[in-house]
Amino acid sequence: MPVVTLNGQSASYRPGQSILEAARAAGIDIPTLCHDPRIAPFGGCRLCVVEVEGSSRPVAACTTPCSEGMKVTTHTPELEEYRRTLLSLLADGYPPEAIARHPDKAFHKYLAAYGVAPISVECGSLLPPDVFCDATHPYIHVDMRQCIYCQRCVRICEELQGQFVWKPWYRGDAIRILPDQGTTLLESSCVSCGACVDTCPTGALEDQTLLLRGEPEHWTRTTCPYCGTGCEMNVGTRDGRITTIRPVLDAPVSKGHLCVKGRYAHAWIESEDRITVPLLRAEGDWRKVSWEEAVGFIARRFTEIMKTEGPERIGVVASSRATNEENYLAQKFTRVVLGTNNVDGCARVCHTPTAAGMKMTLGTGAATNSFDDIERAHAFLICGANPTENHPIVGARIKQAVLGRPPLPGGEGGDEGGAKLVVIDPREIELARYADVHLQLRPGTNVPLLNALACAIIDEGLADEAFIAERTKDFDAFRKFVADYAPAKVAGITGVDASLIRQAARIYANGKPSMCFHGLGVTEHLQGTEGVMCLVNLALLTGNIGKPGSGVNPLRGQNNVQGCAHMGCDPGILTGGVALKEGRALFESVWGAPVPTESGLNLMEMMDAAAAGKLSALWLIGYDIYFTLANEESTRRALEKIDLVVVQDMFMNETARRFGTVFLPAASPFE
Amino acid sequence: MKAPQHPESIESCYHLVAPTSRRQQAAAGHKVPLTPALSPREREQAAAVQLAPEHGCRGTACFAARHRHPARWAKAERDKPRVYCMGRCYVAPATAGETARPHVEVRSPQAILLANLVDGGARQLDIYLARGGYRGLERALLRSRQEVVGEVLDSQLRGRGGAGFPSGVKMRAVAANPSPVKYVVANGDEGDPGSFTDRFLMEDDPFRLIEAMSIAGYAVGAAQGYIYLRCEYPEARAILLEALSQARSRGFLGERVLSRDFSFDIQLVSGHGSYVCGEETALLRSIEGRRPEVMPRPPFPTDKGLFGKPTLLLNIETLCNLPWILEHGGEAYCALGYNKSRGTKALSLPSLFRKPGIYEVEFGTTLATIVEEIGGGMADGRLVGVMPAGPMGGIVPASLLATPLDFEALRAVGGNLGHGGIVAIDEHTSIPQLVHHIFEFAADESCGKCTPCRVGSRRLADALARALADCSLSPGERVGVRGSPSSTDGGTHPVDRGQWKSIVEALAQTSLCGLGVGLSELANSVNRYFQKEFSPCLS
Repeated sequence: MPVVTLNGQSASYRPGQSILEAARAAGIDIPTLCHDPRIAPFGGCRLCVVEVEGSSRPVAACTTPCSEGMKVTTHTPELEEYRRTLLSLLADGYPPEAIARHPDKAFHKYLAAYGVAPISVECGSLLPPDVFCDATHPYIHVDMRQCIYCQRCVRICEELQGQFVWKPWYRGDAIRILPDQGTTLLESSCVSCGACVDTCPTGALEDQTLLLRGEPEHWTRTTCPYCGTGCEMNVGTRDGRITTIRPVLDAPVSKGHLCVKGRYAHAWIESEDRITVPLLRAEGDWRKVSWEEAVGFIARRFTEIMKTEGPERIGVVASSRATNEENYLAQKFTRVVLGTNNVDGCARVCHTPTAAGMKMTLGTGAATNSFDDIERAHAFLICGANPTENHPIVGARIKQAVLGRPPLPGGEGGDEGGAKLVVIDPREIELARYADVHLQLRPGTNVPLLNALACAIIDEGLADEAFIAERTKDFDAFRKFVADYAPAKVAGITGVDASLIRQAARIYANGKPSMCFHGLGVTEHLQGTEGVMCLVNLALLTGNIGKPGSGVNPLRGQNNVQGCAHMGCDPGILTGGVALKEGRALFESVWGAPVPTESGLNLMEMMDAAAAGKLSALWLIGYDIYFTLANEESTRRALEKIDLVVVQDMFMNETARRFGTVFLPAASPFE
Repeated sequence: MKAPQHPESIESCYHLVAPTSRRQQAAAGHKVPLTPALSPREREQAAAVQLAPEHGCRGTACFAARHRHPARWAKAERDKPRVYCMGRCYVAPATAGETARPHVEVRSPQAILLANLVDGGARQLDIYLARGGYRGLERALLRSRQEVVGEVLDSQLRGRGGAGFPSGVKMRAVAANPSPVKYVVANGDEGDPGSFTDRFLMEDDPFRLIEAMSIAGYAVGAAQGYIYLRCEYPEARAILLEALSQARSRGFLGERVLSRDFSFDIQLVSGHGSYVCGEETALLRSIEGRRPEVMPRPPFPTDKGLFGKPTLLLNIETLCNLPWILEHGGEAYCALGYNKSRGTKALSLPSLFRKPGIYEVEFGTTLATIVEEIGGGMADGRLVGVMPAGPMGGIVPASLLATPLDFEALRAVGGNLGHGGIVAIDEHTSIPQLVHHIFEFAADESCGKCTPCRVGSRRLADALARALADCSLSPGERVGVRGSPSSTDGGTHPVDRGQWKSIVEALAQTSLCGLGVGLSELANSVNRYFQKEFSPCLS
């Protein structure tokens, strides 16, 4: 590794690394206000100026790349004096009460360290009258009297979220940071990801909750409980309440970013309609009971049913929002204590076509690539998924890749062109606005459309012949089959112009690596499994499998949908994806208890059994099936016939309200 | 909050030009990425900012000549948007409607730049051809690209925008870059108040610029050029558009220029009234349709410039030397000049000189010759000093007029060459007034990105305004005090000496671009030569 000299000490650096980053790696703290490792260096605040031997003036450490043998001095009396001057310029007219209230903000700490106090307005210029203060946004409080114009909010909104809400208006000292449209932040195009608040070094942008409840006293690092992306967050608490949730900077998936759900959607924890004590239905009305009474009641009823009617008349539905441990216990309890394989979870429902389709074609039913491959892909195919809404962090990363990356200091790695994007969706999702081609097909026509893409790829000689010969079989049959799906013919079925289909085919085939993401818009169809297989076929046809930046990648729903399945909450599959028949003996020896031989009922079969009067008890963990299952009427008929419905949830859900016998209050992920 | 509105100076903004990359489109406010809504020709034609004929100029030359027409100056100080220099300094204090043209004269042994201007201009292609135009490009196209670059290196031509960087070195860097897409950009943002040379090079000899850009495009391997023209020059805009259209229809631009295997076209892009857009990175961002802020270097534009591609960016006058260099050879060009400053320089002499106008002189000519002989001395006052670079550089006192016109010699006395707009200051303007005017100008024109320039220049401008308000000035000479009550308490408000010193030092050492550094140069030259005049302002 090449080496620079920092304050007389040798330090190695990565090519392209700035002086600031190399110094931080070497444990030398150079003051800076406009730098954030998540965004491109800016060189605006000038606090990070350092001396470089041979340079006529100091240089900004954040924007100057290291070069071999460079001799850098980071702290001299002169440099410290410049920093003090710059800080005093920034402190001119700054509200002193903000410093007293939040002494830990980066800017406030520097003011204290350099002994700079805000100059009263008298000595400097008067505060401009048009400073933007705004409390209309439900999460973000704006007080631009504290703005020091580092533009971190502007840049992080652009470079991390891709939303372009904050903009610098006017110039010189008349510069103002204002939202893109409207007269309040609420009226702007803000999506409340909170990145601007997180990066703001002064508190000009601040979480409303933090202002109301105070600076956090404790921080807890955890994983976001919302979607399946798996972002990491730091939860700040004070007096047992959440005051703010911040992104974890070194999280591999979220890379220092969160979306509105993880960042701000936590008020429900303190919601007044949370159920906090067990409830028992008595003569139509709920009655508050003790845990002993509730648990005793359930145990007695389960025992009665097991003994008099048989364990196969009890069903358990586990939760994709619960932890691995909880799901493991749920299926083990069902199999070992209740003595039935009637255990299921929603994990088996939503992406089963993915699991089945990919297992049949590729051998395993999971995403082939990691989210880090997003930055490596040259083209994207987004089919039946709306990542910017449902998986916003993934969506933002795709958006950034499509917009093109800004260069690193020294100009390396910039990619103004960005990756190509094909969106297949009947709706005009947000990413469709950034797409090169949007195939707006009629709902339910995924399979013919995807086959038409394959047909066009073969037609135009864009198939990866070498990969097909080496890695696939039955290509001739496939070729003959998709020949029937000429884009011109499929245009009539799907309502998508043939030329657009061909254009999309070219983008996907020529992208290399091209990365495919799909969601429930593919799987939740009669032909869901076939749709997934079509996507796999496209990847195989173009050699977009087994390479960085390629692959077939389902975007899964709940935060632990994968874990719920892996733990064995499935009527025919044991923990670790082992089929019941193959693994029963091993599990019996480990558990020291018999495991029922027959595969159990899945959720839909439980509903059928209930409707037929063959199910007596149902235990629902965090799954509001009456509200969720497709046919509400048939679900109602089934639930009405079940004697004992145990619902475990945080709120009185619809299933419990209508059909519940016992309600067990659950803890939130933060408790 | 007020609905965001465009501010008082003509907003240096980012709308007219359709951004090209998706990121640029999104940044410029297009939520839906668009194929550019306007064709290149439509973009050229789109309306530029228009000023009323009576709109007053606040440039430094007009400031220095304000006693000639106090009412006009008073109005200029009130006029919104504020316009610093309209390129009419030869009749300063000027207004936008001024139509008089300057005197043009060649005072060098060889006319390299101004021959056509002296002969009444060459606005028609036929006239340009009849006077020997396009010989430079023809010769260039007969030779290899390397040879053309070599010729420019031999000439030792240096950038005329102020920095004096060797143009051949820039060309060589862009030519050597393997990128298939490259650009040539002509910096027609002649923003330094007091200079008007580029304006008349563009207005009276537009084909020389087109030919020069074609030569540059051939040399570096670029197929597209851009002329970035400041909006304060509407006449130049109309003339350039007509010239570009003539050149295009006659095969001097477009596919197969001069029937050779070389394609090149030029697009005109209008600025929106920002001084900082004369800085190369801000200029490129403005063409891209983004907020024109100064960007850190590296990357240098020669490496990653316009739209991230290698870009040769040269000022108008620099480019206009190329046809002559290619026709007569780099050595012939290099034969003229002084020390490391070779060739000739076109100078703008504003109205305080007895003979204002545009003069081509050989490098090495002393300031005394320029002021006394060429300019004919001061028209109606005693000379205090000259600012060869306009406001962004030091003042050379009258006692140092023996200094030759040379990048290095001027720097040695704390001055600068800049655009060669020789702003003379006579006894009608006190040094504190001049310093205040320049800090006010810089504060108004700062892009707002770096702390010392954004806040520092405004702090000192305000402090000087308060100090000046205390001095006994004749009516009409009082400077407006921005954002602060005037001294009704009867006390005096000198600028805190320590604050002055530390902010000037921060401007010098930590500014992002030449605007802040230029301010510190001015302050330092005042400290060096005019301490007596300035110290009453300091506590």
